[in-house]
Amino acid sequence: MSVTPPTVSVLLTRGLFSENPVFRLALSLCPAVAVTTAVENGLMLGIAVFFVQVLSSMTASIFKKWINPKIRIPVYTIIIALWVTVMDMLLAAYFPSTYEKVGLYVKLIVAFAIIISRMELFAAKNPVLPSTFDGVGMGLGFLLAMLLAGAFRELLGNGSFFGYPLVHFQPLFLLVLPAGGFFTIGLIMALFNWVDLLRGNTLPKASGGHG
Amino acid sequence: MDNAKLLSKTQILVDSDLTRVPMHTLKLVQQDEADIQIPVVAVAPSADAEGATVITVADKLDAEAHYLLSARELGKTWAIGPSITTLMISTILSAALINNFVFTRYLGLCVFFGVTRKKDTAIGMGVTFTVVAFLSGLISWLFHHFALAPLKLEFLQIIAFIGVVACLVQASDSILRKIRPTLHRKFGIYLVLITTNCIILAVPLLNASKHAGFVESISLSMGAGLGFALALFLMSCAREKVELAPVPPVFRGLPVAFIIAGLFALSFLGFSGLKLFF
Amino acid sequence: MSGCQGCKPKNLSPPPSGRDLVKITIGLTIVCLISAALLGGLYSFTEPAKLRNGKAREAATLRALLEVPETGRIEEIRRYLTNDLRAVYLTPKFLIGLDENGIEKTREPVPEGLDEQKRDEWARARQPSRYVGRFFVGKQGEQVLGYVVEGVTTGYKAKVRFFVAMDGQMNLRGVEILEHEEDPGLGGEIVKRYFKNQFAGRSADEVQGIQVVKDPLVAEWKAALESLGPTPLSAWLPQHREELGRHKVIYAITGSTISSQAVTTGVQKTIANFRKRLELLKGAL
Repeated sequence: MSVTPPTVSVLLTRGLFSENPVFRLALSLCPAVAVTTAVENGLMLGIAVFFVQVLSSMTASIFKKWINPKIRIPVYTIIIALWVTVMDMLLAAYFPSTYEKVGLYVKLIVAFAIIISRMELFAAKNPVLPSTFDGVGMGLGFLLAMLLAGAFRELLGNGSFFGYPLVHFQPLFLLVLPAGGFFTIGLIMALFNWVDLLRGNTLPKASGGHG
Repeated sequence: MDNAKLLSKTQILVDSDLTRVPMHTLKLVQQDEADIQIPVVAVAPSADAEGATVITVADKLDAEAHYLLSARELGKTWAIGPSITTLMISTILSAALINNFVFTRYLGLCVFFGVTRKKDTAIGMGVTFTVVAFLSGLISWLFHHFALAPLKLEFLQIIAFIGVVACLVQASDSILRKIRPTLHRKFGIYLVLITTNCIILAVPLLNASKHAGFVESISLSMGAGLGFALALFLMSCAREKVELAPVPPVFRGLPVAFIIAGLFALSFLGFSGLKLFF
Repeated sequence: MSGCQGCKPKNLSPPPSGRDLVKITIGLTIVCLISAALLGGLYSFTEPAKLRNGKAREAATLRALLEVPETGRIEEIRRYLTNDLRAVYLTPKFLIGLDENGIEKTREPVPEGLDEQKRDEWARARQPSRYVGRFFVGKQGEQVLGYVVEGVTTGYKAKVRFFVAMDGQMNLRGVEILEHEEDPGLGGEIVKRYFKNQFAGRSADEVQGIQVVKDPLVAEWKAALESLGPTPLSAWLPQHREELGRHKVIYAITGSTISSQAVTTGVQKTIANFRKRLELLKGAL
């Protein structure tokens, strides 16, 4: 890793585009497909992941001296599980209608590769404040991804936005179905690649996520 | 208690002769609505089976529900409902095809896309996953049923289940390394990846939330594993071919893989109406 | 896009020594204990809030379905089944046991001041049984405003739980879907007004024999159905009674005949069973 941690602005913004967790790093794809049937669901889950990410990165950084390297993966997992359960309980108690829709996926945040990989790659080696900002950046990137996909699917699939009907028919209902989720992510990924090309960067070679 | 079989929506086949029994002494109830009798309309000897009787009822019976038929004069009761094997098969089929964890529930995608570039890796992961899913589903159910639920510690589900998976993966890794090093060289990497597979956590969570019984839980675990393996295999076949095709640069790699997955998901939609019962 | 960014690094280090194992075990145990303690603490706060919110929403739904005024109340009656298949009912005041023929056999007053869970435990201790269902009675003073019965049916994918609301004369006031796992946009449309409101305003007998058809839902009837909800039934029915009489079927959701039929059959069965039970319980309530 770099000797000096990257600047705050880099930390906060690289998660949005160049290292967007969903569309570029291809992590945490499950919710991106599943929950983005509507902007509202994507938003709520994005916020939940945001908090878990920030809190987990913070916790890992604060306690990095006490965590025995040999058990760091289980300990990270427990930290994440702890915050996920907290999030789960709070949602269930205070936002029941959202919880009904995103409940299972909130519980699965534990298995999101992105959170544990940020902890391992960054928070474990960097001071608290930069780690927190890194968490914020990644969390925001995830949230952006959810909003983009959700907006695309809801607008074109359901003719509404955030529950408010904009047109009174369903233009491309297919997008609301599971298959549509896959198509949406594929298309937006291609879009990100294309923007990258326009900016003059060469495209990464044909990759497969976890390769 | 003996078993009787549903012949159709309104007929039951009983393996005893009930033709001499007065009809009004026969009592048929649905298990959870046992205080309400379902009227028996006709009793006739079975044309196909010797010594058996066909009971016709007024209401339409549900093949997935459980009923009890009692003949007071004979002091006998029959249970009517889906057998354990039917329950197992229908749960496995449901988890593998109708509600396929990848194409219908979109879980396990991270690993799914990573491992399906080649057929070998896909098959390797599929096999490993099915075994781990089955074992972890089994152990998680035992843990939930005998520890978490009685002690009202359900809120520790998430930590407990991921703990079970982690321990199982670690144990399998060590055991495999000692007993069969060749297998370990082949499958070891997949074991490690399984912990970040959403499905492995989703299965026990689903079982717990449905308060599923033992048979249902292990059937779901097996079905999930088989369904995932199937999805992996299909996807890898497609992707291997697409690697050789002229794909536009912006789509190369993951984007086109997602499109392929979407097409598979569409086709799996066709399983939606699959029902084992009439 | 580098590969394997989320992979766990393969453990290439030698297996830990005895002392290391002890340190590891202690470390993990401490982390687990702290986590469990934190979660337990939070749970004691959020669980009551979750239950309270759940109850509040349920009460609001029930009041809206039966149009219970501020001065009225909703009573819950829980139904249990003993091992020898006899029915037991827990009303706010009494625990009533019936014999096999449905005649009242035992009646016990319920102790005061118990919360919901304790009442349930007490009932199952006095009469060994398991909980199988419940219904609600809306009352103003001693007058019965209506009943809401909770029912379950198997939908296209999984179980669908719902409320059926009826008035004292067994005319339906409405159907409310509580839980389902149907596909959004297809079976999931059963929660929409244009489907679930098709039951409201009909007599129980009419619903008992009603058919589900695949014909399209005409725009005016759909608009009328959508207006029930914001407009309470008592105001909606006089305006639309004639229209209701012209549409003597349930129009299935496009592409979801199975879900539509499942809900209809479920409602029919729930009403039929409830009417049989109500006969026996009339006096007790």
